[in-house]
Amino acid sequence: MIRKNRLNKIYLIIFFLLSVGLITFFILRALEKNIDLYLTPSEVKAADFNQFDDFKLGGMVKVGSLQKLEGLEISFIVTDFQSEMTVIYEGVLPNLFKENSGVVATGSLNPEQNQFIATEILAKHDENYMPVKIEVQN
Amino acid sequence: MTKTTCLSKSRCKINIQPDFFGNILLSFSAFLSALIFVVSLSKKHSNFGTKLVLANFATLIICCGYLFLQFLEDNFSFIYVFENSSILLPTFYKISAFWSAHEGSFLLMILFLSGSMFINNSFFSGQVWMPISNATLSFILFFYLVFQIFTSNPFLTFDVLPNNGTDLNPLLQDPLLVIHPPVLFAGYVFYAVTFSLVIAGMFIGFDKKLFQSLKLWAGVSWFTLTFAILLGSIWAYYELGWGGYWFWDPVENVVLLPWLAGTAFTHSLIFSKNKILLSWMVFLGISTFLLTILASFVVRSGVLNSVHSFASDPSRGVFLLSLFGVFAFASLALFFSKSVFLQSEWPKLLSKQYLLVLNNVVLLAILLIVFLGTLYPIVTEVFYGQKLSIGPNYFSSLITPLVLILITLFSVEQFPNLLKINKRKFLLGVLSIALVVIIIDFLKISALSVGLYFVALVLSILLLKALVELATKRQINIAHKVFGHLSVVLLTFAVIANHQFSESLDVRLKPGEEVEFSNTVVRLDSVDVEGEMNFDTVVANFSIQSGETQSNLKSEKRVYKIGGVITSETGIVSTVQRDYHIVLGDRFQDGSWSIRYSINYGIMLIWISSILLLFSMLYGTIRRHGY
Repeated sequence: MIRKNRLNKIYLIIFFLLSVGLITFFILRALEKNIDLYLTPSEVKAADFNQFDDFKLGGMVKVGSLQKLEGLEISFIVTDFQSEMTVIYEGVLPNLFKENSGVVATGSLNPEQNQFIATEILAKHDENYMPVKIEVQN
Repeated sequence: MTKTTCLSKSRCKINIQPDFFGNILLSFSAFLSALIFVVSLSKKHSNFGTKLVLANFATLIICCGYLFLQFLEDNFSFIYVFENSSILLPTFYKISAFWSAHEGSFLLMILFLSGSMFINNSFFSGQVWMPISNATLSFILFFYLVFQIFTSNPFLTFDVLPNNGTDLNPLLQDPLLVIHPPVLFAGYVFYAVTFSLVIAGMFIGFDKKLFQSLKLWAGVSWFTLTFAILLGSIWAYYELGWGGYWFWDPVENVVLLPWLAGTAFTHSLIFSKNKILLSWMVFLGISTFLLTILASFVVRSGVLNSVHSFASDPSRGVFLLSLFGVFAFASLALFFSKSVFLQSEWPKLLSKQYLLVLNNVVLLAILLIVFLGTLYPIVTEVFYGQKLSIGPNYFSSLITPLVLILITLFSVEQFPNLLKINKRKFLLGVLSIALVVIIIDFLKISALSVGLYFVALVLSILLLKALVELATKRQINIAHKVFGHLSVVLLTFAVIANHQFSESLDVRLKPGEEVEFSNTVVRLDSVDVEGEMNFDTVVANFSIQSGETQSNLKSEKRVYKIGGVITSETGIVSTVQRDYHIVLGDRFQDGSWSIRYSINYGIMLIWISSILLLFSMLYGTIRRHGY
């Protein structure tokens, strides 16, 4: 009896580990399809960007760069103090969005005009829901 | 925007001193916790331990009362009060400002932990497992207090008295967010009590009495945590103004982890009648508690690459992570050394218990998905320096099928006849499923619609069964189970419908202008400016014409006087079927305003089903215990 029990237990553990491993493998594969890279303007320019996948552009909104275009369209410049990139967005901006504060724009690159077409704009905020100032390193 | 002169301790030129009274109370409480630990371990059972628990609770009540007093008296020499309150703040929010930031909320959590220890001792006094439970909880409490004193001390003071504070964050000035954090912390600490009972069971064995107490605590914790998640979700919908109730944001996901484990745990306790899979239950009890610590670590350490960057002192993160490591190692080591002695039996194939095991497996698979999706970005950032985030599509596409399987499992369980399988039935079942799949494929229905139809079908079958049972037997057997599962199906239905049908439109309107969208006409009637005690507000009045009915709603944009923070108060008209939701954006030169107009389906159903679920949980927990 005892020996049978122990054997059962070993089978159980092996089965458990195998299924967890298998599930993890499939989950990770699904994960990789849904990754949004988070890049700064310098990283975008350094990379050879001929891909049109969506990614997240992060940095600071440059002072004085916010322009209201036609309709709901706006444009502003995202900077990481080394490179800059113009972002075009059509829609309502979040409350915490402002110049000289952190921003995360989701969208894709328009290589011909060197612009980033955003579909979603998020203002970065800290635990107190205040806009985040990104610290300059160097 | 710059908040006045001094924000963080490191930048201040003013001297900072610890407040004597507050720190003495905290240290005394830490001392008492250590004492409880020693006393509980040394004597089998004693009234002395219970008295110490009471003394500790009283000390912490005085400690919290003392901090409350500083808020009410506007004593801005306390850094914590200075950073989270102001003279203009209404008294109600001066009280809630207590737990509006990390230090205070952690103190509240400690108070709750010692409070639930006290409740545990008074409800179940004299039980054999009490000393071990007390020892476990005081061990946790001691480390929490050390963490509080050294990394998140709310009792630090300036040596000068500022005239005014920097105000409570306006987004937190909302009645829902006043109760959300305390309820969440209560849920977390209740799971600590559940954990301590599981630990006790490993040492002295699980008898009937321990199981009864365990069921009660597990039910209470589960209810509280669910309630907290619902509150947070309602707050996100009404206050954050993003038009959604769940964003698969890491901060939300980490709360879902202990909830999923807790759900599996609560269900696994049903096995306990005949001690089937006891080790499994113990494992879940331990994991749930560990995940609550992981949740607070992830939120507080700043490792998240989330829009909510709760950036804080890295030492907090390191401390919490080591705490997690200590608890995880200790409890899992105990589990593996003791679990050999716990009797476990496999349930029979396709019995009710068997379905419960499957249900647990599916719940854990969902947990794994959320876990990997939430922690993967942290791992890549730490090891490869690559920042990334996981899109919501990952979660919804993987979890939806699993939820459908879950629903199928617990619905089938209600029809025991289906489970008595013979060859003919099995063949018939396979054939009909194949037929349905072919029809679906032929009609080219989208996967989401299939899900919606399926859930609607299950919903009506379950509802019909409950009604028939009510009509024939005049009562429903195990009503909390039937209604709990019904509400989960209803919730799933509402969530899929919301996903499927909701639409939104960004548009610019001048007062007097209107726009047509999805069979409704929205008109901006007028825009007024109003002043309140601590903020000025722009109020836009809209009217929405949908068929014959017309409804009015107000959408606001507030500018708070201290700090100039801007928040939106979304305007929402709710009906059972759909919500009309307007967020006011910016004003343009020509006097027009940008607005986001959304029609959200099923929101009301989501709230209703969640509340029904909560009631079922509560009834299921207290019905056997008579209080």
